Amino acid sequence: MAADSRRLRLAPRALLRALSIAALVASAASCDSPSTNGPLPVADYPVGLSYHDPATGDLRVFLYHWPLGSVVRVYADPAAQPAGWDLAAAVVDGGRRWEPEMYYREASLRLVSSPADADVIVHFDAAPPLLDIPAGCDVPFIQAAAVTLLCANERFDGLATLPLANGGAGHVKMDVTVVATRVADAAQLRRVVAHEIGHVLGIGGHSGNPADLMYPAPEVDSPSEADGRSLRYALHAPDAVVP
Amino acid sequence: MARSTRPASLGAAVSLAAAVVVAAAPSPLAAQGVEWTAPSVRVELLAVGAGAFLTDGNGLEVRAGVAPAIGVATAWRAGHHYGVELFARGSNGGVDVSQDGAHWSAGHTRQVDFGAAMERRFGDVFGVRAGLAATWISGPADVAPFRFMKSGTPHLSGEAGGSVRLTRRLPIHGVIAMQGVSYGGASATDPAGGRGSVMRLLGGVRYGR
Repeated sequence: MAADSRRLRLAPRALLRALSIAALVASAASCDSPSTNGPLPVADYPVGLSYHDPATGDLRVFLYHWPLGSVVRVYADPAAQPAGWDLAAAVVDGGRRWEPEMYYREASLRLVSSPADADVIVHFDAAPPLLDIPAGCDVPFIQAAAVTLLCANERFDGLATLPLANGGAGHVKMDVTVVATRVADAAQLRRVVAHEIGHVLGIGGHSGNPADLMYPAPEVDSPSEADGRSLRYALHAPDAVVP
Repeated sequence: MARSTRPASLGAAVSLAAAVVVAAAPSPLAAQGVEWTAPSVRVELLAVGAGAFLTDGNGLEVRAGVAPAIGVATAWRAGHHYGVELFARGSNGGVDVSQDGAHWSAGHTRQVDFGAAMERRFGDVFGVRAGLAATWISGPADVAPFRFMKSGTPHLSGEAGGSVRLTRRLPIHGVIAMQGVSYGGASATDPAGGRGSVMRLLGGVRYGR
């Protein structure tokens, strides 16, 4: 069962075309970047999402990460949680698994108790929606165990804030949906959530190697060295979008 | 990945420090019949500003913020002009990381120096000194370059500076020194084995003759 990541904008047709060639473009971009000097290596697999520039039609790579050094506040929604599973614990576990891959404490996760305080909401698909996802930025039907949703703003120079369903403004930038029926057990839940946290931290793409946590259908519990290099690349890419 | 090619073992560093003492103390002065004074104790309170521990190709820098330091020393005077001292000094400050205008804290770093220095006085007011020390640097274990360096391994440091007596009534001196610490993490290309140095500027006051 695959975990997946999608970046959506208000142009579904362009989006579908962009996603189909995202891997090729992001890989090329990671090979010639000047940011590969030093301990920040070339990404081992595509870390960006691609899109068609609405003005020119050119294909561009969308890299993103949180402001360096920031604490990312995560609300783990307990609603519709299957018995014996602990989504909040899976989020904490996933965050801890990624922390050693960041050499400079570029980001850390902290659970919060309210969606209004969150930058990221993680929830099961059967839970009542906490966000009012704008039209054109909604989640398409996918065959995945989880989806991380983030939407670029109109200028593609930042992430759109996803408004709360209760009318509050909030400051949620990402929404992670776990499809409970596609997750076999609590162990796989931790694995899938750790994979999605890789997307949350800045890896927009997927690995083709099953030994990597960012493989679409993750088979390992922790980031590999390739995952670590890819995250470090994403975190320090000079042209990345910061929410 | 963590490895160290630093040859500066504790033994080597102490040997170098001892060599300074031996070189500074005996022969010329003894030949001139200069007598050594009884040892005196010095205490230093300093502020330390440090250069980058690490700079990478993206412009990211890891450096210690301005930190307080305290030092104690035992000093011997040889005649009117010369002296030697054995010193210990410690500092504790924050680790700051910056890139592209973003700044964030990444924990704390500590530095401890044990060393020896020789001093040349000019009258009762001015003095210059130079020394060598064994230096231990520790920092957050998850943050580069500290994560790649073996904790407990001493590094060789050298320093030079001067002093000026601030008052005649009390042995209070203003002191300033520049210190260079051999520290592999200064090279981002090879944080563990790359050769590099971290420069520190120390300034403050010293009490004691």
